[in-house]
Amino acid sequence: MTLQLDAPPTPPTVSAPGRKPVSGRRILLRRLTALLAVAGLLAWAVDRAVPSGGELVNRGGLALLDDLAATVLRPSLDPGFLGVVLEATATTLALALLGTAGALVIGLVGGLVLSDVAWSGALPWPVRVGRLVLRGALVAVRSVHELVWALFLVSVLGLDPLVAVLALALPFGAQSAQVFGETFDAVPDGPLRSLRAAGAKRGSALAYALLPGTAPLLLSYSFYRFECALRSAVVLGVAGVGGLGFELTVSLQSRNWGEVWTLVAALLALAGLVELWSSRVRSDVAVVTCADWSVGRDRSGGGGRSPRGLSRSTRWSLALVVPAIVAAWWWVGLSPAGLVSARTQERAGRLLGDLWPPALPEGGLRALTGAVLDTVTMAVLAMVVAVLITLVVGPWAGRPRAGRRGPADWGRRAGWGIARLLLLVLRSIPPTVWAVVALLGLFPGVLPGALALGLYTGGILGRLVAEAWETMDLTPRESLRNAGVPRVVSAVVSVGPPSANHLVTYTLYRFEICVRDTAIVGVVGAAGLGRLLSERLAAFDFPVVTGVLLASLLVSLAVEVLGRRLRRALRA
Amino acid sequence: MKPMTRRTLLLGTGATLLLSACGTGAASETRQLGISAIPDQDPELLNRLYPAVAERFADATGLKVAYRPVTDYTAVVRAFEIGDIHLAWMGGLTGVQARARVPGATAVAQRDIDADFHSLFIAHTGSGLKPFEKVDGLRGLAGHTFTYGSETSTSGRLMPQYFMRQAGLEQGELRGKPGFSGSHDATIELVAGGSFEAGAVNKQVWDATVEAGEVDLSKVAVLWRTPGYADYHWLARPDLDKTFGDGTQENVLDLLLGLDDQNAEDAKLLKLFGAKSFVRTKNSAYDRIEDVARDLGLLK
Repeated sequence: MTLQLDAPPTPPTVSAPGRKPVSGRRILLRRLTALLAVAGLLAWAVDRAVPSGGELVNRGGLALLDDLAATVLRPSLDPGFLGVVLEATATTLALALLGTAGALVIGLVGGLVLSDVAWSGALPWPVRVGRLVLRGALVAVRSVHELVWALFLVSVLGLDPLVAVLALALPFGAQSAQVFGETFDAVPDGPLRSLRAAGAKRGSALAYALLPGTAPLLLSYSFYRFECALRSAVVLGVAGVGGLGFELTVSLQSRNWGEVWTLVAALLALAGLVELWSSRVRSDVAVVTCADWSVGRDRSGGGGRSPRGLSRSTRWSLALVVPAIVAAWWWVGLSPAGLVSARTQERAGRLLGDLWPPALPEGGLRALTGAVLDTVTMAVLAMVVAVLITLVVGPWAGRPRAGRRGPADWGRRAGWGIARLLLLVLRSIPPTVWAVVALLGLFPGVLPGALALGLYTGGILGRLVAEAWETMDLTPRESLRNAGVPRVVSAVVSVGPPSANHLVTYTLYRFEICVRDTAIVGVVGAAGLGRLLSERLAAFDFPVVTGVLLASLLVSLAVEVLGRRLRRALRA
Repeated sequence: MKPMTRRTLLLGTGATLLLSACGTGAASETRQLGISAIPDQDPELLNRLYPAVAERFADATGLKVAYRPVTDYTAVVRAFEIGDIHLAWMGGLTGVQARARVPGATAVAQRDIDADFHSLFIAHTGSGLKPFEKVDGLRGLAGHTFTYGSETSTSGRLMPQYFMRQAGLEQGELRGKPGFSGSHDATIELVAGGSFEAGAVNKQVWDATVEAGEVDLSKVAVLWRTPGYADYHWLARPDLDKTFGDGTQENVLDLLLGLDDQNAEDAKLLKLFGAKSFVRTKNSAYDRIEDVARDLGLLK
């Protein structure tokens, strides 16, 4: 789910040349404008989403929510069903693994092509044109949500595990290609040039000059991608892709709440273990939190790399990767033969023929604009929910720093555990499921979609921000304290601004993703472009489907550009 | 433990890749006849019914028959279109959609109840809505919340929306947007639970739910029964006989038409279908559904 369209912001250290000095008043003015813009956006969104004169909460539906809550301590423990859950868990894990592996292959190849360092000297024009086309194609590929990819791929490949693997690998690969390209370009190219000058072949020169320097970062990013792929693999269940997401959809459809709870427990256990493992490996190979990756910050330059080299657990993790991929391949019964068969080509041709040329939905441009505005409204309100969750839970979710002793420390640790668990629950349950729950208590429309996305995004945002907070440099606070400034004042003055900065950066970044994620709550009946998309898919009205996808591509790009500007205005 | 060297790692990797290459060379399995059905009810019921149907089809044709469950109506049409399934239990609308995607597909059989099928408008007893006799009574739904079944359900969406339009009730006059519950069971539960004040369901599913005592009739009541229309049917791909041998379609049809209410085993199957028998049908029986679907923008 964690796709990002934006190029990572340039680190402040290199952005200095050519920039005009800005006065303090100017900065204040910019910030005020940004603040006003945000406030205006919020007011508009609330006004648009809340039905005039109507009730917000559907009281009638609350009884069903009660039913749901009452069964939480009575999950289904039927041995037959537990077997199903176990198999589904393995399938989800296997699909996420294969999807990530595919994404990394695409990412490495694409990243090399996109990076300047891989091409020595001036580029001939066909290469430049080719790279431009590739860049554009990658942007388009990742602007389409995994779930939508899955729906298209099912039309071409049928009920085949390839659908899930490709639906994950394509958008994630496009994303990885961009990040990898930038990572390669950030490496000093001296070693590469000397190798080439000494007569090394291009391939081996690249392998020996680029890989050692970038491997820890690439590895860390890969594990981060794996976490995202796991969440997305669950979401794909709605499209009929096997695994926990599929079982969850079926159990929800039969309103078998006991089974739903068992599946949720399995989901939490799987996501929790994978995240623990991943964060261990990530902190081991390079001190890069997923917070950094999300906005493309790279700390390896700051001497953060672990000095002790790879730990035993990381070495074993790496050694296990290939056998694990093989096992996953065997478990889901993957066969690439389906990719090249004549049937596939025929169906792909037919689908493309159906999709082109794009058309406007019934109601024309006005209907489409209305859907776009609904989508933006939903994303804005979702971010409000997510930020509230972050503000309430985030401060408790940072790992307690050593130093305190006794009951105060235990209390803090208990709070930390509960906060992290809560965030894990929020982000591990797919937004499609949150939407089904939200639809019990709210009337169909923008609000349940916003609430569902907000809960899910809150789980992710809370973690990103908490991780950023827990790795924050505390030296300024200590210095202030040592200089005799009272404890509270020194804490507020030194920690406040950077914390707020983290929160704003990640909120803007997640907002961009949230806009894209509105597509999937539309599938379960919320509002906006996603709703229009699923409605037209159900009517096999492919030209309008293309029109809607183009509209969402434009919205994504616009939001990305605006987000980048806003971030810059706030940072300056 | 000795630290792992780069060479061991590379050797291990190579060996596993080699092994896996040998493993995936297995021959593809023999072709199965895939069947599926629109998931119009509780998946648990579907999972009792269709594996049994698959077994009977296998007996009748001598083929391997597999039931492929799906999670939504559109997925059945998609799977039918690309040939993952060759025979499908379609609704009126999904059948028409599938025939538009697969020219030459034929409706072969329907239940005794499907030629003259009905939807019911139901309401929560606390909604203040009262039963009525004529289609005009649907105007009373204005200002109330309302849920359909699946988006492409004939009895849970298409025909109810058609009759609402006939009564002169605009979708915008309902309170909020209409919901899409996904299936008839879900509609009944949501209306009985009070999530929505009113809803539209398939009459056969309603009758079966009432008979099984699974709905609290003090909470939900029937407002109106729609006039009849053609609904569910078995749809066969045009290449069914070519792929699985001449006579396959005929064998399946014979089995369906021969299901006998008096035979205990057949009766069990028929009861799950909510019918007494199966009868022949043809594509033209669904012409009206096709027109309505075009009108409502659900068919291109």
